[in-house]
Amino acid sequence: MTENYLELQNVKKSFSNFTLEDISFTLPKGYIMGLIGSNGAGKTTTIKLILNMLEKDNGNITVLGLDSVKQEGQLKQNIGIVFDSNPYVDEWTIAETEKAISPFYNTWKHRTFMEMLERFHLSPKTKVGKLSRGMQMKLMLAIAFSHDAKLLILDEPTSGLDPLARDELLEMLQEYIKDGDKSVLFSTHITSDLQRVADYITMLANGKLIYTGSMENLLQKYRVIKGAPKELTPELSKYIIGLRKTDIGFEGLIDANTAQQYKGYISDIPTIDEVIIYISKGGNLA
Amino acid sequence: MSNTFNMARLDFYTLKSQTAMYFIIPVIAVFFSMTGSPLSVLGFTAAWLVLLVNTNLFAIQEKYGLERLYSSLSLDKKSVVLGRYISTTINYLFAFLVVVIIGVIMSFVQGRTNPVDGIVEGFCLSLLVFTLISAIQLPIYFGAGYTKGRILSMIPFLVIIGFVMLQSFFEELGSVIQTILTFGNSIYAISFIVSVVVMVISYYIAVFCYKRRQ
Repeated sequence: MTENYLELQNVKKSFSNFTLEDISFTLPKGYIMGLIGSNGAGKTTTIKLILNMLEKDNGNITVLGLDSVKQEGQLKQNIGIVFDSNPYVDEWTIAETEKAISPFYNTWKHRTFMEMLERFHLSPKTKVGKLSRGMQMKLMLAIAFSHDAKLLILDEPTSGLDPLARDELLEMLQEYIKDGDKSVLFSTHITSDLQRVADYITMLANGKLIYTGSMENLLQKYRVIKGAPKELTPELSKYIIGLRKTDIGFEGLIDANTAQQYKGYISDIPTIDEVIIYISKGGNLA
Repeated sequence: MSNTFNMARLDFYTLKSQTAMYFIIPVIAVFFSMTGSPLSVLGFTAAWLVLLVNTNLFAIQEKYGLERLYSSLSLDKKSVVLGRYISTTINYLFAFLVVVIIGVIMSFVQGRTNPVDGIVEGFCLSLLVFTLISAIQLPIYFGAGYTKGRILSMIPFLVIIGFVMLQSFFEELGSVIQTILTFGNSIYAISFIVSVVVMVISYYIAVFCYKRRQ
């Protein structure tokens, strides 16, 4: 099987009020990729295009080496999806949910499903509508794990979860990719989660691809530079991405190599949150 | 193909909350049988009720965002649409079978002669009404969703109601229909073929609309 579990090439989708432009990135086998960006950046649109929920205007998407449109049914045998809320009918019990969904998968393992329910403390008799958000997320994971999905796609799974449930999810994701044969695409705007688990980052802003690559590179490539107002020279301000000025000082994102020329300034490794904030303020990572 | 049938099966799970609607069918069938209505009337009633159930299917789909579920399953868009057409048709056939069984039993109970009279007529004509309405409704719902599509999808219902009302005002229309029905089996065969053709065309339109849906 292909070494890249997910490949997007020049994918474009236009709506009347939003355009996702020329998105290209790859997710290799055995890694976790964070798909990040502020609200409205295009994360969910990208995921909908991957799942063929939307018809793309241009470009190619291959998942596990298969075309996302022509081989949609076949490739989804090996994909597990976790949405921000459950996509099942509230009146279904967990057992009925399994009965309704399991026939779609050739590799469904009832035993694995029951083991996952036990691990997550979910009763098969509980109605889906009675589950908390954290429990719903666990049910979606149990379903993904029960058909041995090779690629797990999570669309904002941690939004609305308490810190304990988020921590549990991250642990499960790390455990999931442990055998090196599975990958995860994890869309979120809670970037502190990603800093713990993600190997790769793809960042979108206003429908444009800002960065795709390893998280380490992203964080090492840039610095947050800070200084007093009088230290902000016109030359320095040209290099700063998302410059923020106040009466007591300035700060912004700067290329790590350029930052070395400004030794007298405070220069810190940014967090992903800081990168998103500065980029959203109008900058662009060249 | 197996996933298409799985999709149809999924539809029946989705309709779990609508089980009460299915109980209305025999109740209404008993009522109409007691008033001496022919099997064709029972068939139309079954078709009408199933059309309402099918509308509810799209309402539930929209309420719970089941598009996301379909997108996560090993299904392509064609299978989703075909599965829905199959479940819709099975629903109608099941309802028709129920009303026919009840109609025949009631005929025996009431001591009527020829209790199975009109089964073929009832089936073909109610199937025609059912498919004509479904063939318009389904592509609308697949293309626009329940909320946006429900007003438009009322049009075929209104056309049928209007047609029935027209008969009251223009007696000639009723006699034209009666004359057509005297052709017997050939007219039933034609209506059956028209039903099948209409549903096939409707399916392709629905696939096109569903693929284009944003």
